[in-house]
Amino acid sequence: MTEQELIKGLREGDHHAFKKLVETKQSLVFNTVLGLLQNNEDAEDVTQDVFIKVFESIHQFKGESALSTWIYRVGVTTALEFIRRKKRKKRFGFLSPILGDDNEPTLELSDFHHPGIELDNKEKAAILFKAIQQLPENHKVAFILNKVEGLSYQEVAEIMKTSLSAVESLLHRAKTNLKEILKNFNNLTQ
Amino acid sequence: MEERYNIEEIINSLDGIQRAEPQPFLFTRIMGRMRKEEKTFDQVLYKLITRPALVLAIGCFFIGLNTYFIVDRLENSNPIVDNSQPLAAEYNPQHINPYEEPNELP
Repeated sequence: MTEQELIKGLREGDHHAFKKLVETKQSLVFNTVLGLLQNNEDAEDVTQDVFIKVFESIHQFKGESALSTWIYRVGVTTALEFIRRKKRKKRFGFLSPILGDDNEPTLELSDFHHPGIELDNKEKAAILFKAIQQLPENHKVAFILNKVEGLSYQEVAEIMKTSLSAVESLLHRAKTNLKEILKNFNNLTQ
Repeated sequence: MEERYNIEEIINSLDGIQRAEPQPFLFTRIMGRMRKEEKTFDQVLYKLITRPALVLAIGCFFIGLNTYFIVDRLENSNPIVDNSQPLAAEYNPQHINPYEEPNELP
């Protein structure tokens, strides 16, 4: 089934086309969402949300980019919305703005072990993921798409609807920020 | 964090990462969820009419309507009615001044 046939099938509400889409794009969506959320259960739920959204709003896909690019975009947006919702819940639930500055990085983060990391790197990657959680949204998205999903700068630029130079700059700043955060981690734990 | 790794090592720890896969039967779970989220007309109607904003708006509308009718009724409960005109019309008095003698011609 070609991409055009797949899109046509989805537009007609064909469940076989939808099944094909899920089978071919599930790892792409799950891996991206997992990188952003750093929680398996949440990533499973959000992956389902993403596919439901894709199926229900396929008529909004104009074909200006590849289907995968559009799905990445839906995935990233849905994951970021989920994170914001969770933060809001946490903020109002525990009155954290009263107890401390909201912009201050919190260290109450759980260790996340990505299942695709080599055993030798597991511990280092867990530290890195903890630091990634503290990056600004666009830095985090660019870094995850490039480093976890293995996309090129050009592909990241298309997903984020920005220029190639902007992505280069984002990734450079993301790495600089990460180094700073990791340095602070060192200072805090010494 | 222990000082075992330098920062560059940590930054490069994602090199060679493999894609994570979701649990099996993702499509079946998605379809199940979609069916669960499909709502009947009754459910949609119930959800709509039990919305706090709607209930509050309807409540306010009826309270406003009642207030309007109560105020309207109070304003009209003691009307100053001039009954003289209908009475005058009914008895049709011919002479207006009792001191004025009618001109009686011989």
